Amino acid sequence: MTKLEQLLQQVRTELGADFVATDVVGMDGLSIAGGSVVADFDSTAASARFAMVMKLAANVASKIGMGAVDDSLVTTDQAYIITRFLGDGSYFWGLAVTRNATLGMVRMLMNEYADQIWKAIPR
Amino acid sequence: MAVQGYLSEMGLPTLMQLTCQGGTRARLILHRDDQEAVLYFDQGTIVHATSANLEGKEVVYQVLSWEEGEFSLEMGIPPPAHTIEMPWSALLIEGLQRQDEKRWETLEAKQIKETIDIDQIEEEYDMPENMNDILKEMGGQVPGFIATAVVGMDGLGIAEYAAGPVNVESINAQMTLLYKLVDGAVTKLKAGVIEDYLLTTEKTYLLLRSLSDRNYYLSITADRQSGNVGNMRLNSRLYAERLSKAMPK
Repeated sequence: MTKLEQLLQQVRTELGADFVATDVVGMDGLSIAGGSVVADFDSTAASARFAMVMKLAANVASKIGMGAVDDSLVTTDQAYIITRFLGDGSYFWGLAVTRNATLGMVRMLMNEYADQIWKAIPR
Repeated sequence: MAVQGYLSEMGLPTLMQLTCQGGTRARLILHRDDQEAVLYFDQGTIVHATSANLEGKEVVYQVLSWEEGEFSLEMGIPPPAHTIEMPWSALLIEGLQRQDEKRWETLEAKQIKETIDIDQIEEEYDMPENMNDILKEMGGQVPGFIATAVVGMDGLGIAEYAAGPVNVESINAQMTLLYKLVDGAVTKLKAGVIEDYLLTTEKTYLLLRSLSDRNYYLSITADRQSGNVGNMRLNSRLYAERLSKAMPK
Protein backbone atom coordinates (compact mmCIF):
# COMPACT_ATOMS: atom_id res chain seq x y z
CA MET A 1 0.00 0.00 0.00
CA THR A 2 1.44 3.37 -1.00
CA LYS A 3 1.72 6.28 1.39
CA LEU A 4 -1.11 8.02 -0.45
CA GLU A 5 -3.37 4.98 -0.11
CA GLN A 6 -2.48 4.70 3.57
CA LEU A 7 -3.51 8.31 4.18
CA LEU A 8 -6.82 7.85 2.38
CA GLN A 9 -7.42 4.69 4.40
CA GLN A 10 -6.80 6.65 7.61
CA VAL A 11 -9.34 9.26 6.55
CA ARG A 12 -11.79 6.49 5.75
CA THR A 13 -11.24 4.93 9.18
CA GLU A 14 -11.71 8.26 10.94
CA LEU A 15 -15.01 8.86 9.18
CA GLY A 16 -16.31 5.38 9.95
CA ALA A 17 -19.85 4.68 8.76
CA ASP A 18 -20.19 8.18 7.29
CA PHE A 19 -17.56 7.57 4.62
CA VAL A 20 -18.90 7.13 1.08
CA ALA A 21 -16.05 7.74 -1.38
CA THR A 22 -12.78 9.56 -1.87
CA ASP A 23 -10.43 10.22 -4.76
CA VAL A 24 -7.28 12.21 -5.43
CA VAL A 25 -7.68 13.54 -8.93
CA GLY A 26 -5.43 15.33 -11.40
CA MET A 27 -6.77 18.33 -13.28
CA ASP A 28 -6.91 16.08 -16.32
CA GLY A 29 -9.85 14.39 -14.56
CA LEU A 30 -8.03 11.12 -13.85
CA SER A 31 -8.01 9.65 -10.34
CA ILE A 32 -4.63 8.52 -8.99
CA ALA A 33 -5.93 6.98 -5.76
CA GLY A 34 -9.18 6.45 -3.96
CA GLY A 35 -11.98 4.13 -3.04
CA SER A 36 -15.62 3.88 -2.15
CA VAL A 37 -17.94 1.83 0.01
CA VAL A 38 -20.57 2.00 -2.73
CA ALA A 39 -20.17 -1.09 -4.90
CA ASP A 40 -21.18 0.50 -8.19
CA PHE A 41 -19.60 3.91 -7.50
CA ASP A 42 -18.25 5.23 -10.79
CA SER A 43 -14.96 6.76 -9.68
CA THR A 44 -13.95 7.59 -13.25
CA ALA A 45 -17.12 9.57 -13.93
CA ALA A 46 -17.03 11.31 -10.56
CA SER A 47 -13.39 12.32 -11.01
CA ALA A 48 -13.95 13.62 -14.51
CA ARG A 49 -17.09 15.56 -13.64
CA PHE A 50 -15.66 17.15 -10.52
CA ALA A 51 -12.48 18.07 -12.38
CA MET A 52 -14.72 20.10 -14.69
CA VAL A 53 -16.43 21.66 -11.68
CA MET A 54 -13.11 22.62 -10.09
CA LYS A 55 -11.80 24.10 -13.34
CA LEU A 56 -14.90 26.18 -13.85
CA ALA A 57 -14.93 27.21 -10.18
CA ALA A 58 -11.35 28.48 -10.51
CA ASN A 59 -12.24 30.31 -13.68
CA VAL A 60 -15.40 31.87 -12.19
CA ALA A 61 -13.65 32.96 -8.98
CA SER A 62 -10.94 34.60 -11.01
CA LYS A 63 -13.42 36.43 -13.26
CA ILE A 64 -15.41 37.87 -10.38
CA GLY A 65 -12.25 38.83 -8.52
CA MET A 66 -12.63 36.49 -5.55
CA GLY A 67 -9.13 35.03 -5.68
CA ALA A 68 -8.02 31.41 -5.91
CA VAL A 69 -10.44 28.61 -5.03
CA ASP A 70 -9.71 26.61 -1.90
CA ASP A 71 -12.58 24.17 -1.83
CA SER A 72 -16.16 23.53 -2.80
CA LEU A 73 -18.93 21.82 -0.89
CA VAL A 74 -22.03 20.34 -2.46
CA THR A 75 -24.89 19.42 -0.17
CA THR A 76 -27.48 17.05 -1.57
CA ASP A 77 -30.31 15.28 0.21
CA GLN A 78 -28.08 12.20 0.40
CA ALA A 79 -24.51 13.38 0.84
CA TYR A 80 -21.92 16.07 1.36
CA ILE A 81 -19.36 16.19 -1.45
CA ILE A 82 -16.26 18.24 -0.69
CA THR A 83 -13.54 18.90 -3.22
CA ARG A 84 -10.42 20.91 -2.44
CA PHE A 85 -7.32 21.86 -4.36
CA LEU A 86 -4.04 20.35 -3.23
CA GLY A 87 -0.64 22.05 -3.28
CA ASP A 88 -0.09 24.03 -6.47
CA GLY A 89 -3.59 23.26 -7.76
CA SER A 90 -2.59 20.53 -10.19
CA TYR A 91 -4.59 17.99 -8.14
CA PHE A 92 -7.71 18.08 -6.07
CA TRP A 93 -9.02 15.79 -3.37
CA GLY A 94 -12.68 14.77 -3.39
CA LEU A 95 -14.50 13.28 -0.43
CA ALA A 96 -18.13 12.21 -0.18
CA VAL A 97 -19.78 11.48 3.16
CA THR A 98 -23.33 10.77 4.25
CA ARG A 99 -25.62 13.51 5.54
CA ASN A 100 -25.19 12.00 9.00
CA ALA A 101 -21.58 13.15 9.03
CA THR A 102 -20.61 16.17 11.10
CA LEU A 103 -19.72 18.67 8.42
CA GLY A 104 -17.40 20.73 10.60
CA MET A 105 -15.51 17.58 11.52
CA VAL A 106 -15.16 16.53 7.88
CA ARG A 107 -13.81 19.94 6.87
CA MET A 108 -11.37 19.85 9.79
CA LEU A 109 -10.23 16.38 8.79
CA MET A 110 -9.59 17.54 5.23
CA ASN A 111 -7.58 20.51 6.50
CA GLU A 112 -5.54 18.12 8.59
CA TYR A 113 -4.78 15.66 5.78
CA ALA A 114 -4.59 17.91 2.72
CA ASP A 115 -0.90 18.77 3.06
CA GLN A 116 0.10 15.19 3.81
CA ILE A 117 -1.85 13.93 0.79
CA TRP A 118 -0.25 16.56 -1.46
CA LYS A 119 3.20 15.50 -0.26
CA ALA A 120 2.37 11.82 -0.75
CA ILE A 121 1.52 12.24 -4.44
CA PRO A 122 4.28 10.45 -6.43
CA ARG A 123 6.35 12.73 -8.71
CA MET B 1 -90.99 27.94 53.25
CA ALA B 2 -88.54 28.59 50.49
CA VAL B 3 -89.09 28.61 46.75
CA GLN B 4 -86.16 26.93 45.06
CA GLY B 5 -85.12 26.61 41.45
CA TYR B 6 -82.47 27.08 38.80
CA LEU B 7 -81.42 30.38 37.24
CA SER B 8 -81.34 28.65 33.87
CA GLU B 9 -85.10 28.12 34.23
CA MET B 10 -85.99 31.46 35.81
CA GLY B 11 -83.58 34.29 35.21
CA LEU B 12 -82.63 36.70 37.96
CA PRO B 13 -84.26 39.77 36.30
CA THR B 14 -87.61 37.91 36.32
CA LEU B 15 -87.13 36.80 39.92
CA MET B 16 -86.29 40.35 40.98
CA GLN B 17 -89.26 41.75 39.11
CA LEU B 18 -91.76 39.24 40.55
CA THR B 19 -90.49 39.64 44.12
CA CYS B 20 -90.40 43.42 44.02
CA GLN B 21 -93.80 43.73 42.37
CA GLY B 22 -95.23 41.47 45.06
CA GLY B 23 -93.95 44.01 47.65
CA THR B 24 -92.98 41.24 50.06
CA ARG B 25 -90.10 41.01 52.50
CA ALA B 26 -87.81 38.20 51.40
CA ARG B 27 -84.30 36.82 51.24
CA LEU B 28 -82.95 35.45 47.96
CA ILE B 29 -79.92 33.17 48.24
CA LEU B 30 -78.02 32.50 45.02
CA HIS B 31 -75.38 29.85 44.39
CA ARG B 32 -73.15 29.44 41.37
CA ASP B 33 -70.32 26.93 41.64
CA ASP B 34 -68.69 27.84 44.95
CA GLN B 35 -69.98 31.43 44.93
CA GLU B 36 -72.83 32.69 47.06
CA ALA B 37 -74.75 35.95 47.09
CA VAL B 38 -77.71 37.03 49.17
CA LEU B 39 -80.25 39.70 48.22
CA TYR B 40 -82.82 41.17 50.61
CA PHE B 41 -86.16 42.54 49.47
CA ASP B 42 -88.39 44.88 51.41
CA GLN B 43 -91.37 47.04 50.47
CA GLY B 44 -91.12 46.39 46.79
CA THR B 45 -87.42 46.97 46.27
CA ILE B 46 -83.96 45.49 46.95
CA VAL B 47 -82.53 46.99 50.11
CA HIS B 48 -79.43 44.98 50.82
CA ALA B 49 -77.08 42.51 49.13
CA THR B 50 -73.96 40.67 50.20
CA SER B 51 -71.45 38.25 48.72
CA ALA B 52 -68.11 36.90 49.89
CA ASN B 53 -66.25 40.12 49.20
CA LEU B 54 -68.85 42.71 48.24
CA GLU B 55 -71.84 44.49 49.70
CA GLY B 56 -74.55 46.70 48.28
CA LYS B 57 -75.57 47.31 44.64
CA GLU B 58 -72.28 45.96 43.21
CA VAL B 59 -73.44 42.51 44.34
CA VAL B 60 -76.64 42.90 42.33
CA TYR B 61 -74.72 44.00 39.23
CA GLN B 62 -72.47 40.98 39.62
CA VAL B 63 -75.18 38.37 40.02
CA LEU B 64 -77.19 39.72 37.10
CA SER B 65 -74.58 38.13 34.86
CA TRP B 66 -75.18 34.70 36.34
CA GLU B 67 -77.03 32.61 33.80
CA GLU B 68 -76.65 29.37 35.67
CA GLY B 69 -76.85 28.45 39.31
CA GLU B 70 -79.46 27.78 41.98
CA PHE B 71 -81.71 30.09 43.90
CA SER B 72 -83.68 29.87 47.10
CA LEU B 73 -86.27 32.51 47.94
CA GLU B 74 -87.55 32.68 51.52
CA MET B 75 -90.40 34.96 52.46
CA GLY B 76 -90.59 37.04 55.62
CA ILE B 77 -86.87 37.31 56.37
CA PRO B 78 -85.97 40.86 57.45
CA PRO B 79 -82.92 42.56 55.97
CA PRO B 80 -79.94 42.79 58.40
CA ALA B 81 -78.92 46.13 56.90
CA HIS B 82 -79.86 48.76 54.31
CA THR B 83 -77.06 49.32 51.81
CA ILE B 84 -79.04 49.98 48.62
CA GLU B 85 -81.10 53.13 48.08
CA MET B 86 -81.94 52.80 44.37
CA PRO B 87 -85.33 51.63 43.06
CA TRP B 88 -85.17 48.01 41.86
CA SER B 89 -85.94 49.02 38.22
CA ALA B 90 -82.98 51.45 38.12
CA LEU B 91 -80.80 48.78 39.67
CA LEU B 92 -81.88 46.27 37.05
CA ILE B 93 -81.37 48.67 34.14
CA GLU B 94 -77.93 49.72 35.40
CA GLY B 95 -76.95 46.09 35.93
CA LEU B 96 -78.05 45.04 32.47
CA GLN B 97 -76.27 48.03 30.88
CA ARG B 98 -73.07 47.05 32.62
CA GLN B 99 -73.47 43.52 31.34
CA ASP B 100 -73.92 44.82 27.79
CA GLU B 101 -70.82 47.00 28.08
CA LYS B 102 -68.82 44.07 29.36
CA ARG B 103 -70.09 41.91 26.51
CA TRP B 104 -69.08 44.57 23.96
CA GLU B 105 -65.67 44.92 25.54
CA THR B 106 -65.16 41.17 25.31
CA LEU B 107 -66.42 41.15 21.74
CA GLU B 108 -64.16 44.07 20.79
CA ALA B 109 -61.17 42.43 22.44
CA LYS B 110 -61.98 39.21 20.59
CA GLN B 111 -62.34 41.09 17.30
CA ILE B 112 -59.07 42.97 17.88
CA LYS B 113 -57.35 39.70 18.72
CA GLU B 114 -58.80 38.10 15.59
CA THR B 115 -57.61 41.07 13.52
CA ILE B 116 -54.13 40.78 14.99
CA ASP B 117 -54.16 37.04 14.42
CA ILE B 118 -55.22 37.54 10.81
CA ASP B 119 -52.50 40.16 10.34
CA GLN B 120 -49.95 37.76 11.77
CA ILE B 121 -51.17 34.92 9.60
CA GLU B 122 -51.09 37.15 6.53
CA GLU B 123 -47.65 38.36 7.45
CA GLU B 124 -46.34 34.90 8.06
CA TYR B 125 -48.05 32.92 5.38
CA ASP B 126 -49.96 34.83 2.77
CA MET B 127 -48.85 38.35 2.15
CA PRO B 128 -45.90 38.44 -0.19
CA GLU B 129 -43.02 40.41 1.25
CA ASN B 130 -40.69 42.56 -0.76
CA MET B 131 -37.78 40.35 -1.78
CA ASN B 132 -35.27 43.19 -1.68
CA ASP B 133 -36.30 43.95 1.91
CA ILE B 134 -35.81 40.32 2.88
CA LEU B 135 -32.37 40.28 1.28
CA LYS B 136 -31.45 43.50 3.06
CA GLU B 137 -32.59 42.06 6.38
CA MET B 138 -30.61 38.90 5.76
CA GLY B 139 -27.53 40.96 4.90
CA GLY B 140 -27.65 42.35 8.42
CA GLN B 141 -27.64 38.83 9.87
CA VAL B 142 -24.64 37.44 7.98
CA PRO B 143 -21.18 38.20 9.38
CA GLY B 144 -18.82 39.58 6.73
CA PHE B 145 -21.75 40.13 4.36
CA ILE B 146 -20.83 41.38 0.89
CA ALA B 147 -23.76 40.71 -1.43
CA THR B 148 -26.85 38.58 -1.95
CA ALA B 149 -29.25 37.93 -4.79
CA VAL B 150 -32.12 35.77 -5.95
CA VAL B 151 -31.07 34.46 -9.32
CA GLY B 152 -32.87 32.55 -12.04
CA MET B 153 -31.27 29.64 -13.83
CA ASP B 154 -30.84 32.01 -16.78
CA GLY B 155 -28.25 33.84 -14.66
CA LEU B 156 -30.37 36.96 -14.21
CA GLY B 157 -31.07 38.29 -10.75
CA ILE B 158 -34.64 39.18 -9.79
CA ALA B 159 -33.68 40.80 -6.48
CA GLU B 160 -30.35 41.76 -5.03
CA TYR B 161 -28.64 43.66 -2.25
CA ALA B 162 -24.99 44.51 -1.75
CA ALA B 163 -23.21 46.12 1.17
CA GLY B 164 -20.77 47.93 -1.10
CA PRO B 165 -19.68 48.43 -4.72
CA VAL B 166 -19.85 44.82 -5.96
CA ASN B 167 -20.69 43.66 -9.46
CA VAL B 168 -23.61 41.46 -8.43
CA GLU B 169 -24.69 40.88 -12.04
CA SER B 170 -21.33 39.36 -12.87
CA ILE B 171 -21.42 37.12 -9.79
CA ASN B 172 -24.95 36.01 -10.71
CA ALA B 173 -24.03 35.13 -14.28
CA GLN B 174 -20.79 33.33 -13.44
CA MET B 175 -22.10 31.44 -10.43
CA THR B 176 -25.15 30.24 -12.38
CA LEU B 177 -22.83 28.54 -14.88
CA LEU B 178 -21.04 26.83 -12.02
CA TYR B 179 -24.23 25.89 -10.20
CA LYS B 180 -25.64 24.28 -13.33
CA LEU B 181 -22.46 22.27 -13.83
CA VAL B 182 -22.48 21.09 -10.20
CA ASP B 183 -26.16 20.22 -10.45
CA GLY B 184 -25.51 18.24 -13.63
CA ALA B 185 -22.60 16.37 -12.04
CA VAL B 186 -24.63 15.47 -8.96
CA THR B 187 -27.54 14.25 -11.09
CA LYS B 188 -25.31 12.14 -13.37
CA LEU B 189 -23.61 10.57 -10.35
CA LYS B 190 -27.00 9.85 -8.78
CA ALA B 191 -25.84 11.60 -5.61
CA GLY B 192 -29.28 13.00 -4.76
CA VAL B 193 -30.88 16.39 -5.18
CA ILE B 194 -28.66 19.41 -4.64
CA GLU B 195 -29.63 21.61 -1.70
CA ASP B 196 -26.78 24.07 -1.58
CA TYR B 197 -23.32 24.72 -2.94
CA LEU B 198 -20.51 26.51 -1.12
CA LEU B 199 -17.44 27.77 -2.90
CA THR B 200 -14.56 28.88 -0.70
CA THR B 201 -11.99 31.15 -2.29
CA GLU B 202 -9.05 32.98 -0.74
CA LYS B 203 -11.19 36.12 -0.39
CA THR B 204 -14.78 34.97 -0.04
CA TYR B 205 -17.39 32.37 0.76
CA LEU B 206 -20.00 32.03 -1.99
CA LEU B 207 -23.08 30.09 -1.01
CA LEU B 208 -25.88 29.13 -3.40
CA ARG B 209 -29.10 27.54 -2.20
CA SER B 210 -31.96 26.35 -4.37
CA LEU B 211 -35.33 27.97 -3.72
CA SER B 212 -38.45 25.84 -3.53
CA ASP B 213 -39.34 25.75 -7.23
CA ARG B 214 -35.68 25.07 -8.19
CA ASN B 215 -35.83 27.58 -11.05
CA TYR B 216 -34.22 30.15 -8.78
CA TYR B 217 -31.53 30.12 -6.16
CA LEU B 218 -30.37 32.35 -3.36
CA SER B 219 -26.77 33.52 -3.56
CA ILE B 220 -24.85 34.92 -0.59
CA THR B 221 -21.31 36.27 -0.76
CA ALA B 222 -19.39 36.94 2.45
CA ASP B 223 -15.86 37.92 3.34
CA ARG B 224 -13.58 34.95 4.00
CA GLN B 225 -11.91 36.51 7.03
CA SER B 226 -14.98 37.75 8.91
CA GLY B 227 -17.52 35.33 7.44
CA ASN B 228 -18.85 32.22 9.14
CA VAL B 229 -19.84 29.21 7.05
CA GLY B 230 -22.25 27.77 9.63
CA ASN B 231 -24.04 31.09 10.02
CA MET B 232 -24.30 31.53 6.23
CA ARG B 233 -25.80 28.10 5.75
CA LEU B 234 -28.26 28.63 8.61
CA ASN B 235 -29.38 32.03 7.35
CA SER B 236 -29.61 30.77 3.78
CA ARG B 237 -31.99 28.02 4.95
CA LEU B 238 -34.13 30.40 6.99
CA TYR B 239 -34.36 33.12 4.38
CA ALA B 240 -34.77 30.75 1.41
CA GLU B 241 -38.14 29.75 2.85
CA ARG B 242 -39.28 33.36 3.16
CA LEU B 243 -37.98 34.23 -0.26
CA SER B 244 -39.77 31.26 -1.79
CA LYS B 245 -43.03 32.55 -0.30
CA ALA B 246 -42.35 36.09 -1.48
CA MET B 247 -41.53 34.97 -5.01
CA PRO B 248 -43.90 36.56 -7.55
CA LYS B 249 -46.19 33.89 -8.94
